[in-house]
Amino acid sequence: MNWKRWRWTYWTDLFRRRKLAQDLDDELKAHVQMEIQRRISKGESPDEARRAALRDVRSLDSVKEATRDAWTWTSIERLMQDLRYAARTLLKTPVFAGIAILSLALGIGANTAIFSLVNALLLRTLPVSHPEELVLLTSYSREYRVGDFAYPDYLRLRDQTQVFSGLLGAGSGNRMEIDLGNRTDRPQVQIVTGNYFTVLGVQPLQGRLLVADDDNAPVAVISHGFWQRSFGGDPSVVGKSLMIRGSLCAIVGVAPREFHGDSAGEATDVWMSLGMQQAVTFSRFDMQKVRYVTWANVIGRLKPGMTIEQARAEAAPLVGQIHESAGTSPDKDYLHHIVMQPGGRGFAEMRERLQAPLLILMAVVALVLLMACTNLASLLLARAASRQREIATRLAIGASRMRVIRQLLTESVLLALIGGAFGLLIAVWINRFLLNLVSQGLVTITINLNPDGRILLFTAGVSVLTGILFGLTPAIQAVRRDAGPFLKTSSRTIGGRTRRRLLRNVLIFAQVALSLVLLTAGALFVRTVRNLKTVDTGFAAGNVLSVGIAPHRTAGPAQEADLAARLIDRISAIPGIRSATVAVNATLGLAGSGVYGLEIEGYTPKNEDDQRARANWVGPRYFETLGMSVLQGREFSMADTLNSSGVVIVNQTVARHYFGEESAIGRRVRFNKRDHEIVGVVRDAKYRELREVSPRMVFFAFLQYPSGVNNVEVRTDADPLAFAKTVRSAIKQVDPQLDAFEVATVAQRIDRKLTPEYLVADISGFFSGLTLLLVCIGIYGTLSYSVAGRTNEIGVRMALGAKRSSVLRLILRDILWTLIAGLAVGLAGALAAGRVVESLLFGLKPHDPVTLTFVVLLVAAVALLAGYIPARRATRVDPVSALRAE
Amino acid sequence: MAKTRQKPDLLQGTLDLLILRTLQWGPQHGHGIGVALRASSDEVLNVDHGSLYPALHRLERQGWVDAEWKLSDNNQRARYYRLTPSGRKQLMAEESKWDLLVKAVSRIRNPV
Repeated sequence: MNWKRWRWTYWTDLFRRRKLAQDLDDELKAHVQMEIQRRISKGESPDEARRAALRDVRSLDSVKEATRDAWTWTSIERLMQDLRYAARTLLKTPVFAGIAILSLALGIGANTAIFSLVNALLLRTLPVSHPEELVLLTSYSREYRVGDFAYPDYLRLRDQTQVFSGLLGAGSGNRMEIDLGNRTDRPQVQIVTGNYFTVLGVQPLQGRLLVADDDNAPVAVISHGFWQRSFGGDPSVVGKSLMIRGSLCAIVGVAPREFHGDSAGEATDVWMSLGMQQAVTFSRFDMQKVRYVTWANVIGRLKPGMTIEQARAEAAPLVGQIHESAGTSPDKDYLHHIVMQPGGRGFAEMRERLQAPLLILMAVVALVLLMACTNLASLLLARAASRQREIATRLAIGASRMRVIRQLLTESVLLALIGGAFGLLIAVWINRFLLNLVSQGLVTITINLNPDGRILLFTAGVSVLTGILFGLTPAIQAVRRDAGPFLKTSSRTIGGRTRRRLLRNVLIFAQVALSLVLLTAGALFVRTVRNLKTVDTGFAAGNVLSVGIAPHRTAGPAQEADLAARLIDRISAIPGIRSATVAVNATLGLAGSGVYGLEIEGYTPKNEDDQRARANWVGPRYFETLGMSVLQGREFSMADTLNSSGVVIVNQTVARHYFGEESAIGRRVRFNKRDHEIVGVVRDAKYRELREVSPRMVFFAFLQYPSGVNNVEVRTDADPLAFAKTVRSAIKQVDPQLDAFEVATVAQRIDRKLTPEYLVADISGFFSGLTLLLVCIGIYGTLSYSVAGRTNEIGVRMALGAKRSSVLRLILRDILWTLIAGLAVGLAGALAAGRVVESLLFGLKPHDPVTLTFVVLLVAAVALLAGYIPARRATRVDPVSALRAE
Repeated sequence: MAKTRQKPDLLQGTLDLLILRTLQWGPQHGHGIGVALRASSDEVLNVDHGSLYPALHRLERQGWVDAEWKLSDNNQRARYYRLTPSGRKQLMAEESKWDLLVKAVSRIRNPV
């Protein structure tokens, strides 16, 4: 049959069924009329003819029925029947339906939630034309990933490529204070090359987007969101100017609503032309001329027909040319080689940060769903058993097995679909929680989590698959037995029990094993977070306020030192503030610095690395402010200035590394053609990451190496956040040009660092707890059913003198071996899973014996408890009534 | 509960063939087809209406016949069936199949 035609009639029939039925009615009536007339014309009397005609057609209904069978839509009709019947059956057992739907909703909801994050952050491509043509270029030094490029190198790549039709350069986004006349705002600003929008293939919503000529002009494009938020969607916004850090910049256009920028999870509000770069960065270098400042993140668009392999082949010689003309060696430069990846999803920073945690969470919630499914299967199995009579009757009166299986499957799919629908609701709720969690740590993730087609498809697919896969086995089990015995005798017959019991035990086994794996993972992650939070940071984080200050215009070293000193004095004078200081790198902040070429007096370096150390430039009373103990010597004071002799403070690791047991105080360090005397040794601490193992750290005096102030650290008497406003305004008083863009406590910094860990620990902790509940339900439900089915047998045993304890053993023995097997396999699974997540753990090994023992005992206890309740009910069986019920 | 459909291939195929063949001479309604079949088989075949109408609807679904409401000779509204081009092709196929069958059966009955 013609497939297209069939499909078409199928659907038209569905909507025209009423008309079809009416037609058939009319047709048969006409038939009867014609038959009567034929008979009359043959000479029969009208009465006789009518009777004969009706007899001839026999029952009109059976003709209709047979004809309707020729119509395809009856299968739809049957489905509706099945659905109605399934809904009625489920309503009759609300507890069963409720538990099944709830566990499925949790499983499916968790999967949908995590999948929407994965979709938004890892899968979704940028809303630009032909994202598959985009290629992400990443710079690598010989040893590590750098990421961005120096502008001259970007220019060379852009101008000499044969493979790309265009290469865009984009700085990373920063919050910048913008003066809007009557008020200020703090949008995310990104500096981009003039060809940025052309390469991405984005069309303007209002005005125009940037063009190549804009590289020298102070212009900007704003996002749809920023346009709405800050300008109320004013249609005349094009042509207005933004005042940023003392410079004016003209708005030339508005980007389309769906375009948020070049990275998933990070939304840009203002795209500023290169012409604004020097004006807002206040860099002492010309960022478009020098090779030692890298800032341009590069994405290229392949010419039609070109491949990423061709781009890779082209890159190596270009890197060679760059070094040839700059006279540098690739081994000692930031740019050793370029890695090219498909760039349709934009820049990768957020993606790389969250990829591992998200994938682990995806695995966790997948296991949770599997648990929910086995739970559903065991519930269905138990229920099918209690419906033996019904099913046997239906088989006996002529229903085919397929028909009964289809009916049972309709039920489980209906359950799963309802579960899926609730799951979507739960997913919205979980997502809100997740976004809050992720955004807490000062990283604002802007992602669109509205369920799109892909997510709805995912949820619907998971639901239907769940319903079919996990409903099928119980359904087949249900129809497998012969109808005979169940009808003839009571339902207590033993027939077919072993196979069913085996299946039941397999399900319990799977649940125990899965929950053990999940609980172990959950416990490991939760303990990791606790370890990280209680790790010895080496400083007293409480009551420290850390203020980030945007780069600002400075005149020279003397003025910079003066500004720092004035800031320190002004802030220290605020009542309730104990001390204030400045630092180049914030404690546990995003940036860190290193120095190399250190010459230590009386020490022969073994290699180049031996002359390297991490470094920070800090103001007077820095260690007091942060609560780092000075073990020997003194710390910096206001007296360590440009005019006094050079001083340096080192941490314990430096002292031990270079001087062993001898004292470091008084030794000299030569760096940057200047001599410094070690005046203090401080305790080791965490400087950038909580996971770092004490690096060698050298502290220089800020006032001896003045630069623009970019961090102020403050120790307060009470809640540091209460001082945020006062400190901010004090900074403005010292110099109105200073933009304190971030005020946070060190505790908040730690939270931000730990965001991925929190994400994993909270979610896996919550869901592993949930699996315990699922195991309980599964075992309880299964054993309850099994006990109910054996009431008779237990009654006989007790009548024959069996003790209650032996009955208890009888029932529990049923699941004991299953439990032990589940624990053993689960333990093996947990060890294997632990190896996968090892890199995320801190302060404990994946095979941590305490965790494993605890989890095994917990699962065993919960499983036995869940089994004990129905087992005890069995011992309460009254032999007399049990036998009488027979 | 749906009846299990009986599909004796030969019988159904035969009825289809006979219906299509009757429609070869022009559009006809269900009653007329029944009468025609009986008449042209010298009253040997009395087609059960319980099979005729399902067969007609099945043929319609398969696209071998089309149906429309028309007034009959004695001014009665009736559903007229008409052979479609693909129905004509099907008729030819059914006939050659039938011929083969008849030949085969007669060869068995009267071996040379």
